[in-house]
Amino acid sequence: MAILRAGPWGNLNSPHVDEPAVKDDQTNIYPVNCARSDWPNQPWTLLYNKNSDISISTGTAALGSPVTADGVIYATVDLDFNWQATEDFDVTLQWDMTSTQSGSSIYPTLIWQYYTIEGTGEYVFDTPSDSGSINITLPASTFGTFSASADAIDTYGYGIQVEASIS
Amino acid sequence: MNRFFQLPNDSVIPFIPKCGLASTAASIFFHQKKIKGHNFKLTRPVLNHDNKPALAPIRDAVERFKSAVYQVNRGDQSITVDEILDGLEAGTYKNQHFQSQTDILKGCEGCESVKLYRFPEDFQQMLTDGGLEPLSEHRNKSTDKPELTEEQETRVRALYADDIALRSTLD
Repeated sequence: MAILRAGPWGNLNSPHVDEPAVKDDQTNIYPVNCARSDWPNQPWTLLYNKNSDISISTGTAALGSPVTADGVIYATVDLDFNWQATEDFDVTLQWDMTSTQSGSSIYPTLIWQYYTIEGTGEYVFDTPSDSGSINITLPASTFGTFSASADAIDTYGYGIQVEASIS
Repeated sequence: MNRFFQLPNDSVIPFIPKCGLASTAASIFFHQKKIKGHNFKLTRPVLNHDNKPALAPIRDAVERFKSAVYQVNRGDQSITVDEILDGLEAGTYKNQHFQSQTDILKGCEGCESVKLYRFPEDFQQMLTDGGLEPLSEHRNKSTDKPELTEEQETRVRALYADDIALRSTLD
């Protein structure tokens, strides 16, 4: 199956968008990757958003690079990217959520979801253990869009750290 | 602090573990997929209810406890019913799956209204009232819930007396 390249950024409605100078997760456009590989002129990239009660920031991260958000009561890490692939491929979503105080308790949630331009999609929501990883198979697609979100609330407000990555 | 799912008709569902969370989330996703909304943000829980009307599923406390025991013993984790009960009674075991429903509902203070539904009996109606399509299957259903001894069930009923009283108003 031959695929006309999209990107470098975009979404299902606008698959050909230039990389924005300022990264902003409110625009709903994300990097377009070639499965788990680099394009010849564009390394594999995702857009992250780190959101907590003390800070918020958005940027890009490479495959396998952990993204960490720190908060007092809550912290969230969102990871978004698009892909094109001629064959199904696997990615691994890893998360680690910790309270900064021993004995405190955190309430974690984890979501991953995707849509493809061919009309397929999958969604998984969980209240998982504080750390772990899961392998996710993404289908061959002329354009797919993926999102993962890991968040945790510290029930005592001692401080919380959420780390997540895609590899 | 509590989380809320945002619904298409501008109401919210408070985040009550072991009361159909995965199914609620899936129903929102399938609605987005159906209308080709493809907006990931709308399927993520938010931290504020923005004074919107709330729809809340309320489950039998003993059944919910048993489902939570199953949940926290998935994978390589292992904790017994008695260890959980000891920890809950002493206040040393904190886990969102065991937070009482009445405690979680306190997070709905300020909502325009709070409508309660029996879970699982009226769960599909709750989704419909929220502008979602009923689900054909229950997601993340517990498959191997423990049986409780008489003494354990008595302890659960004492711990969750408020939840039991709330649920009895719906039956």
